[in-house]
Amino acid sequence: MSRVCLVSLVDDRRAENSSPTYASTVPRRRAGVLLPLEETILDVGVRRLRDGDPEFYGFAMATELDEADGRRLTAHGTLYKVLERLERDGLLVSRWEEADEVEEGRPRRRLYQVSDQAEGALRRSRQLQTATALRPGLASR
Amino acid sequence: MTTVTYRPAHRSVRWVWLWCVAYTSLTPGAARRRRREEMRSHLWESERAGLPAYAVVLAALRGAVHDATWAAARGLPALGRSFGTPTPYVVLAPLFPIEGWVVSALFVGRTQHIGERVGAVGGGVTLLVAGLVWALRRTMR
Repeated sequence: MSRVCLVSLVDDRRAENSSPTYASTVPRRRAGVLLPLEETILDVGVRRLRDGDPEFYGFAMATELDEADGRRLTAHGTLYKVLERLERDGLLVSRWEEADEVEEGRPRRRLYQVSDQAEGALRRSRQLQTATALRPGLASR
Repeated sequence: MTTVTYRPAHRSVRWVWLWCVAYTSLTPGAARRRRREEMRSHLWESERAGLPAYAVVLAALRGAVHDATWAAARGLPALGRSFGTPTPYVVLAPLFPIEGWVVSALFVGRTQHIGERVGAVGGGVTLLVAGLVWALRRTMR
């Protein structure tokens, strides 16, 4: 058996025997893979786009997440940080409500909607996760 | 338009708003205005939807770490950049004599405490640095 094969065998054994580590239990950002909350937000956004009501705002999204995901009280800080990140990554676009859209006495909303790239990014993320689940070694590469 | 004056109906929700004002104070103008307006809208919608105040506070508490890391990520680079201007040095300069006065009041003895020395020369040195930074910026323009 060549040296390369032996090293590979040892690595595989180590991986099998190792106990769950921080890296394996805490969600980590990998290229192309979305975090669960990001996926859920994009899912809701894509569904709204198909239903012909593409725009949503922070509070409406928090309510939908609470209902859809069985989540309780989506954290403000987490939600707005994720929305900002998705926008920065080009998966969401946003705008402020125009003055004529705002009801009397209500603060204006920041309206978000998924971009053209969102559906593809969602699909790619799921493919990568499936591939990782089938071949666990991919996760460490 | 300033949004600091917003006053939620429920007292505990007011604390959530104050927390938002506090952490956004560390961030640059555009990010600060955007997050405040989004949170203002979110809190207003929460109250209108009849969410109990404890739920709003809990959602804020759960996201507080993300709020703080978001503010740090936005605010620290801006704070670092501000040291390339004379303003922070001019602001810091008057603090040195006060520090020297406090130290001399607390430590009565024959030998001079190092804090008194720092208080005596620190203000002048800081103003000198402010002048140098100003001159450097002027020549580089």
